[in-house]
Amino acid sequence: MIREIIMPKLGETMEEGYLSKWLKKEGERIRKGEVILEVMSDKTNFEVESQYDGYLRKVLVEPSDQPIPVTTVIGYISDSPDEPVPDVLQTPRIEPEKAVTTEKIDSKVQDAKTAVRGDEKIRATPIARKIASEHGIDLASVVGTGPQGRIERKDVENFIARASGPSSKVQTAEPSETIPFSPLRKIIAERLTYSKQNIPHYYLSVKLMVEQISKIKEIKKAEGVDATYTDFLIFLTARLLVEFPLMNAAVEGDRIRLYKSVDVGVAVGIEEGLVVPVIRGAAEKNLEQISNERRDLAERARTGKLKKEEIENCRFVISNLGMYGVTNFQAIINAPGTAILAVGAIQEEPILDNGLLKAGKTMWVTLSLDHRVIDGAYGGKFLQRLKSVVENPGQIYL
Amino acid sequence: MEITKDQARFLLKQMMEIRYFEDKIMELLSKNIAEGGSHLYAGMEAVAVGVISSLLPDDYIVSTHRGHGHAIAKDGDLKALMAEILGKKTGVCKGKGGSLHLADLNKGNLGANGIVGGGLGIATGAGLAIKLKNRSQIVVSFFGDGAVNNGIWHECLNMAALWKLPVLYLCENNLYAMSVSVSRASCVPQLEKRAAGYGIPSDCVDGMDVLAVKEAATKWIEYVRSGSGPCLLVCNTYRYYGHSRSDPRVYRTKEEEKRYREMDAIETFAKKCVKNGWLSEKEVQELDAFVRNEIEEATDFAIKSPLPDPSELYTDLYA
Amino acid sequence: MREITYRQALNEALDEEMARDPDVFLMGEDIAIYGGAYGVTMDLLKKYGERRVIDTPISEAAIVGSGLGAALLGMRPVVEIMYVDFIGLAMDQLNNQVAKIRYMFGGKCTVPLTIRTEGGAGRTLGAHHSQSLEAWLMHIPGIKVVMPGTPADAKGLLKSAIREDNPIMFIEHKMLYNLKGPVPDGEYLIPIGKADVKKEGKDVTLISYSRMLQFSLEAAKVLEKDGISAEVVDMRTLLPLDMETVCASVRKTNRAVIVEEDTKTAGAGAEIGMRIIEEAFDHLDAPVLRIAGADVPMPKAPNLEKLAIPSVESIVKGVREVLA
Repeated sequence: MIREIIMPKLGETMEEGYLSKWLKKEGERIRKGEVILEVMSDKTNFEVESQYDGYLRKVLVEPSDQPIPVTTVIGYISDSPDEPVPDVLQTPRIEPEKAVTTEKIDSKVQDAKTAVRGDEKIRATPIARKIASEHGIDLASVVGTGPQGRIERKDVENFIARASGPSSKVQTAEPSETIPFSPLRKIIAERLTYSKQNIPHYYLSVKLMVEQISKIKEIKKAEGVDATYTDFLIFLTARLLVEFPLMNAAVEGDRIRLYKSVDVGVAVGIEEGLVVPVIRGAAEKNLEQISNERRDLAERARTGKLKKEEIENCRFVISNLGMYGVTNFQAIINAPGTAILAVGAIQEEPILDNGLLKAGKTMWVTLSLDHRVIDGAYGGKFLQRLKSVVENPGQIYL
Repeated sequence: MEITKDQARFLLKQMMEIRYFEDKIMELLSKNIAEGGSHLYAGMEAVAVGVISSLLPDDYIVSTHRGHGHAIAKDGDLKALMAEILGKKTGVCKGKGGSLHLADLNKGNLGANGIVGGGLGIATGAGLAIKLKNRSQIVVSFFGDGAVNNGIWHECLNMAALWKLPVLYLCENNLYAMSVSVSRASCVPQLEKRAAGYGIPSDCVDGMDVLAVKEAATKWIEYVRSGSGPCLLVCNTYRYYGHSRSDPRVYRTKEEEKRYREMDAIETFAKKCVKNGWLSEKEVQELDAFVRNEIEEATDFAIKSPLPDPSELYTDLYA
Repeated sequence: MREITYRQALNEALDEEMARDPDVFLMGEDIAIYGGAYGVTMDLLKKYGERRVIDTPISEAAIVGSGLGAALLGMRPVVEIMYVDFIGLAMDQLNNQVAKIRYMFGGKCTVPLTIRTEGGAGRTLGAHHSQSLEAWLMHIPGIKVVMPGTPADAKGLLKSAIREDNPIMFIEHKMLYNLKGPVPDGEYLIPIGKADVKKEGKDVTLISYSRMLQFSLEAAKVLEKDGISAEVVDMRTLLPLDMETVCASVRKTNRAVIVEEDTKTAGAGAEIGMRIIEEAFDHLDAPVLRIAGADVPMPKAPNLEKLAIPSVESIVKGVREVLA
């Protein structure tokens, strides 16, 4: 019996993935549950387990930086080592229902072939379509100079050259090196461009006094819980998000999906780029649990061993660049979430305490918000509450 | 003609093999076990057997669309022939030729042919090769009364006569091409007269009498083998079945068919064998039973054999 | 390298193969004493005798049929059909017998038969002596179809054809017999089934064969002056088609123009063009263009004859259209 290995759909919105690595070779025996390949999607490497016992008979696709649509057959497993196996690469099956996503997301990844200009289908040569598709260009924006307005290769190439600015016309006479986008970089570029172009961002900042947190940090460390400022913030914002559900939400077209579980994503920088693992149900977890989980996720993010359920469905995110001395910054919201909290470095500086000048520990935080969903007052109230619980942590049982 | 007991038995056996083979094919066709066309030789056995038994093993024959008889007479393997007719991979052509294209090059059978007169060119070319290589083989080119009106017949007879090729052109005149009789198709119905147009000798013989055929064949084979060039031998015979399975034979009368059945080559020869003491009645019956069994075994083999593997679709196209 | 004519190159090929293998013999109308209607078999009768260079009656069917018979018995006949226009007289032998016998007999024989013929317009001989019928022949599984366009290819391909154990239609062009070209000394073979890039280029691929190859090379020179760099692919064999070489070129230039002398409808270009679409679709920057013979019997008047087949001008014009 032959069974297909397909590019798995590892997330609600996943439409394509990149094949990072086969962990087994053709002819090798595999067991159900054994990890046989690694797939990259949404900035993370997933391990994919075999669903069956048998033999890996055919590897149809090798690792590359070409995206593969979900459900494409990429290999075959058979019960026995020698029954005949097909070697044709199948086309992706038609998905019965797509994940609910905004229209804008659809049009972004829309197949260039079905681009329409007014009521007409766009005429473009096969090579023009191929190049346009490879560069994510909507043919509707390209002017065709071929017969009857047909878009030809040179038209697409000129469009690309213009879009990347005059520098792209620089001849390769000047010494330079070209690095193609890695699969992760492509994902980051796509998602963040989308967020910046489609979400009306605005930013609210507040300076937090963190002496109290600092003291508790020491106490906890002595108890054996080595929590970071980020851990504290996850803990505290999670409890606040229970009161501010619009910040624990996802935008779907003209609807806002409010979630019961308070999940907090944490931005982790890795060698190849950036990933955002998520701590689920953070409002129910204590500081120690949060700290341990965050540490584990970060470690596995760096080694590329995150599971798909650990990075999908991400909404509210905390991003901390304080370790680099960045005092404050404005982060880009991780669509379809509605908010992201940017945390800066702790600074020792003079503060006024009851009118008296003294040394204090401060930390800027900036909340980026989606103005379609969250208005200034709502955001402001959140920050107000945040400042309050950070500076008087006794209010919350740690 | 004088023959030995062994020769008599051999001739009778081969004729029976052809007859029972053809009857069996008819049966399989009606039961839909065999498919496609089949052009049956029953009734004409004396011609194939009489001629081919007079050849040497390395002589060649080229056959017609009605080729089961020639194939069997040229030392054919009954099992492999039956399997080929059923399109099985154990057939003499691996199941890819079928009834119309039975061939066995190792045994000198250059093939049956789906085109009327289609074998004439091959036979003439084989004769040419034999002559160019100074060999002593000959080629018997079988064809029917219909082929003599086809262009290639004339081209080949002319060329063979011109170059004195060692080809015995053997016309099996069973009086009807498909449905059109010789008298309605040929301006000169005595087909042997055409030879005069090519300056080659011709002869005509009763094709229902195996010894008469054998005598004539022996003489003309010797003539051709001597290097004197080709000749035309017409054997007048009759096929019992229609042109093919689907032929209701409306162009023949029942009286005519009955008349020829009464001249049945096998029956008359069997009687002659007994009369001349070549075989006893009992031996004839035993032979009959033996051959029937041979055919049953061949049929069984063929039916049980598998069809060719799908991968054979594209094989054997180019060398 | 020495320069000899296409005719001399073919003559050398026959001579060399007959010297090499005693089973090779020639058969055809007027090939012995006359030396062939176009002189290809000149002087071979003198050298090899009448048992190996055989004049036949006017019997195309018997010529091809007996070629087959001799081939089945292990000889290596090279038969000639004087004009490809006459192949119809031998069509049953070619299509039903020569092409199919090996397959029908389960692979239990080989047919090492070469059928030489020539075709093409240019001598104002009219409709029965000017045709290009390769499309008919490409449609016959079991044979191969070879059409050399240069003297060097003619010699190398004919030698290969004679040595190959498959039946091969070797179609020469009457207007190329006097064409001189470089031909290597000594023994060499050109593989059947392999196309050849006769000129490299990057803007458009011209796909051609036989006399039209020469026209295409001329057209490429004209285009070069206008800064258009044409790549010229010589098919050399039409069955089987070497689409790998063609598609590699199309992937480079993104534009394909087929230049063929046969009549356009269901011609050789129809098959080549379709294969390009099937195998290199994503690389096309324009539809595949065919520049082909007019769908008419070949007229006698010299001006009409010129119009009925491609010309250097029509090729150049076609290329400009495709690059518009």
